[in-house]
Amino acid sequence: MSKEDELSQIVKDFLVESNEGITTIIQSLTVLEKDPNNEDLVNEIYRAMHTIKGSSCFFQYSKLEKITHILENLLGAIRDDGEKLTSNKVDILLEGTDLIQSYLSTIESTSKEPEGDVESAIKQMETLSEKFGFTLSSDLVLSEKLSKTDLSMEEVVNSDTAPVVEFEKEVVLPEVNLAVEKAVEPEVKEAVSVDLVEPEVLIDLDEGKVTDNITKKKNAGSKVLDSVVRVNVSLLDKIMNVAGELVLNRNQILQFATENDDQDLIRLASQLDIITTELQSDIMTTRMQPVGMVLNKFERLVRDIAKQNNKKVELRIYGKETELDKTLLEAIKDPMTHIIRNSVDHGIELPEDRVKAGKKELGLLEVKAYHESGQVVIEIKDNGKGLSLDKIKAKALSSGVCSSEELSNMTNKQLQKLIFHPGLSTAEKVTSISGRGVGMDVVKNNVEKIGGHVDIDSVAGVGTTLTLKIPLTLAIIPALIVKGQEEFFAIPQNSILELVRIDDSSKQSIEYACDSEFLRLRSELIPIIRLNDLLQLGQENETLEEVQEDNFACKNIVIVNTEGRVYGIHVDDILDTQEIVVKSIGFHNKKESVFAGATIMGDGSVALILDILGVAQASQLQSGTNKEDVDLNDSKNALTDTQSFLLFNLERHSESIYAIPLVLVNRLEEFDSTQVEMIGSQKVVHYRGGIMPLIFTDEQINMKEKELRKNKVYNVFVVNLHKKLYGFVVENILDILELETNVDSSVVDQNNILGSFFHNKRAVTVLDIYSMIDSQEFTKQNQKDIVSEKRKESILVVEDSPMFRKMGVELLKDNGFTVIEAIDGQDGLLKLKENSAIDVVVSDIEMPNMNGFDMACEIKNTEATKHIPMIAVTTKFSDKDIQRGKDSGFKYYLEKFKKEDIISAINSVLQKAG
Amino acid sequence: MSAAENIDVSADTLQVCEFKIGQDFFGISVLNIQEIIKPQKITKVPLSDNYVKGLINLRGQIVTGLSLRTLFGLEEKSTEENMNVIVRHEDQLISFMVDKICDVQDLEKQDFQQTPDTISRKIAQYVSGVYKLEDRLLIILDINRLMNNNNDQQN
Repeated sequence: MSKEDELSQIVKDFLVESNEGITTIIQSLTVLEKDPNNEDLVNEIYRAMHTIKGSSCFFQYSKLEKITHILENLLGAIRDDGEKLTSNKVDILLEGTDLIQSYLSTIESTSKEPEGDVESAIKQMETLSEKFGFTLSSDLVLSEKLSKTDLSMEEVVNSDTAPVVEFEKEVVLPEVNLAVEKAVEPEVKEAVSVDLVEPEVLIDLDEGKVTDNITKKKNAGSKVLDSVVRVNVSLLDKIMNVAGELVLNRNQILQFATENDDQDLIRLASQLDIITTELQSDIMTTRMQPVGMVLNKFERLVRDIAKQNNKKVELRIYGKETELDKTLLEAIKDPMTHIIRNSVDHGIELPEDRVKAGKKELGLLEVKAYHESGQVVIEIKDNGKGLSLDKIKAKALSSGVCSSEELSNMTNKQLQKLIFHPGLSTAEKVTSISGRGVGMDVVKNNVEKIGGHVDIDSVAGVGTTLTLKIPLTLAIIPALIVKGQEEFFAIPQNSILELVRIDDSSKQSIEYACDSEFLRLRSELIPIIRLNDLLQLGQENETLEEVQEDNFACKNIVIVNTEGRVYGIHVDDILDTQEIVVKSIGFHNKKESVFAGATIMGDGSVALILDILGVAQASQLQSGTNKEDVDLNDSKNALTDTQSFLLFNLERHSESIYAIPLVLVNRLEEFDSTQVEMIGSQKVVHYRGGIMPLIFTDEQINMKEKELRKNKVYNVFVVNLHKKLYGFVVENILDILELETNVDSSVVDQNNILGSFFHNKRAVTVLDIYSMIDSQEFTKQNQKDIVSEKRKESILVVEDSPMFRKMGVELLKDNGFTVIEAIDGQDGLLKLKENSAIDVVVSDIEMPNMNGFDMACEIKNTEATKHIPMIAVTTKFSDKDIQRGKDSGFKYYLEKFKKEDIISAINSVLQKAG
Repeated sequence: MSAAENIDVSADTLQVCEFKIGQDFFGISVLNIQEIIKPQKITKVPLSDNYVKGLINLRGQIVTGLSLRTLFGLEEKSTEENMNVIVRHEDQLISFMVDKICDVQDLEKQDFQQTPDTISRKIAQYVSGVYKLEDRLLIILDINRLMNNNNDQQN
């Protein structure tokens, strides 16, 4: 193992390749001997030798290089100067090849060439040729030696004394025979370019022995060689296809097994399932290649373009080892090249402009590749001048892409995305590299062709980030199977946002405007396409009245997103998700771009795969709902804080829904009534080696106290507060809800309620866990004990949401800090002015009036406050945000109410300050 | 395939698979045919041309089924009893759906004749010639023309 570790991948590749080359050479040589006039073979040998020489030179294996060079010269003479290939030449070549092989195995085991200087290698070759009775033409060897710049004069002189020169053509027969015998000895390794003797002389060379020799070498063979096999990609493709069929077959067997109640069959089927899955993933890995294969090429590209444009650019590549399917890797090469060119060509400014803008002269181009939720993400980020929105606008206007009215309604993000529009290039000057107006749209098309996604984010003056999201593989994808009339269709999972079911009881319904259908979903209007209508399934198209009539039946709607266009597909039925194997469908079907291909279902029938983009185009959803800004996959980037709530109700059949912030909840538990015990008047349970008080939530909000019922299972959520666990008893836990709504606290009529919000047109009451706990008798006792270790530091908590503010304040108070509250950035700055003694600032990012970033910048840039360490506590977690947070001066960037993290961050900044 | 393409009707003998569509007998060189299978479950492709009858699962491969009947402008018939003549063309698997499979015929060169002008143009465009058999005419279909023509229609 250690040996392999020492060898870098690239050296291993070199070894594999060179050994392959040697195999080729040996094979071809033996054939060539029988057919000496075969020029193709000579060429082949020459090429193989040349490759080995080239790579030895690259790896600075100078001795190896020398040997191969000499052999190459010998071959060159045969190839170009029409010298005859005699069997003794073949011998020299074979011996020389053996010599190379022995060098290679030394390199493999020690990662170094064998001991000795370059001279010794040449000597070896010379001796070798002597043994065969050849004269290396002296000038050849000499020029060899001279050409090697690192050879000293002395060595050159030595070469004159070398025996080579003395050899002449008229070597006599007996000597030659002698030479042959010696040559077979393994340690005889030397050769050089040659002049032939009598061609027939050596015909009786003992070929067997030579071969023997080679075989031994091979057996001595090496780990690297044994562990690597080069396989033709087309074979891999074939294996992949067969594996795909196996997957299909497995699906069929699984389905069959579940239909038949045969235990053995089910067991075997599930085994087959496991094995197939494993096989499938292994086969996938064979096609995986590190993105470094593509990224590394950009070093040169960046250097060249930068030089051409007199720019200074540093390229940093991260995540080279991230792996991607080979075909996809090929597919992103061109788009990536284009993006990188663009970034260097007109992203990064000229050095003098950069200095003027207060940046470092050296521009930075970062390329990051990483895995994220089953996709490979490649980020190309420059710190250049960013996109100029004004220029984009002007260009869009002049090229008639948008009207000025449309432009004025666009968000910055939408404006930036215009660069993906055909015919827009903001480069003022058309260079050979970019600015011809074909570019980003092609990039986008290419990436989307392989199921990927491109996004751009640019801040004027700060830089531009392009993000490519690429699926890991194309061949097998998860998909949702839906039904339209009697036909099955597959919708690729990666374009599905959510599934919505509408029936009588739900408040949502499909609305109509000008014969089009819409679904109102969380205040978004989403156009609905009926699958049956689109594909003209079934009999006649239903009239609108009929459509409205069956409004009462339940409806299944698949909400999909393509290119930021969100729409719903109304299907008859939603079945399940499956790993499907994508098969292309013949050209007869190509114009039906609503289909991306076909797959074979568990029952052996064929199902068509819907092309979500094609469906949108076919339905002329040109404008659709442009939802570019609120990318649901990217909810962390949403403009407001998202908060998760645990929903529950308190009484059986109660209409009221209650909620608490999910961050407060430690665990959900169920306790049987027999487990509940009384300590005084307090109900408790034994929980995790301690006693946990149970708080009956409904009693807390002025509902009647209830008798402890027998034989009842209590649903309890456990809250960890003040370093103690509390169990809150509720009737039913309903759901977890993530939403961006702010809790409205204006209609609170009692202590234990924090506020309310509307969800699905129903009011949800948010309970105030803190006050409920505080109001407990036993807590008061408790708190006195805990807050004993008072600390002198005071902390400013800046947070707009009253609930989170309260949580933050409580948390810090628990830990003995003095806490000052502020409701937004401006208030935070004000409070800082008022209280000179603040030691740490803990702030939210998304706030009205002034956000966290701006406030932090302000604090950092003010003399009186710049020493105060700041910690961001937020739900915004994209890399971009984190970077921005760091840039703004936040020491830590933490997730909202990861309590331990926050406290340890505070402690750490305080220690540093102290 | 290249071997198959080289065999043209001018070779001395030609082996064709004979099948029936409507009242007429047609043949395709056996070298072009991968296999012949019985009627299969077929998945319709919505919005496609009418002669594209749908997709067939042939041992995990997707085969596009084309009805020659429809292509030749003959009266539509239920596709359920159609036999499938599976042809591989440039990595595509195509099934020509025909009414009935007859036999493999060895055809002699001297019986060959250019396509008579009287054959309807709809069919004639796919025909490379006819063989006069004792009791009937056997119309030889040209795979490449069938394929290329479909391509044209597509464009």
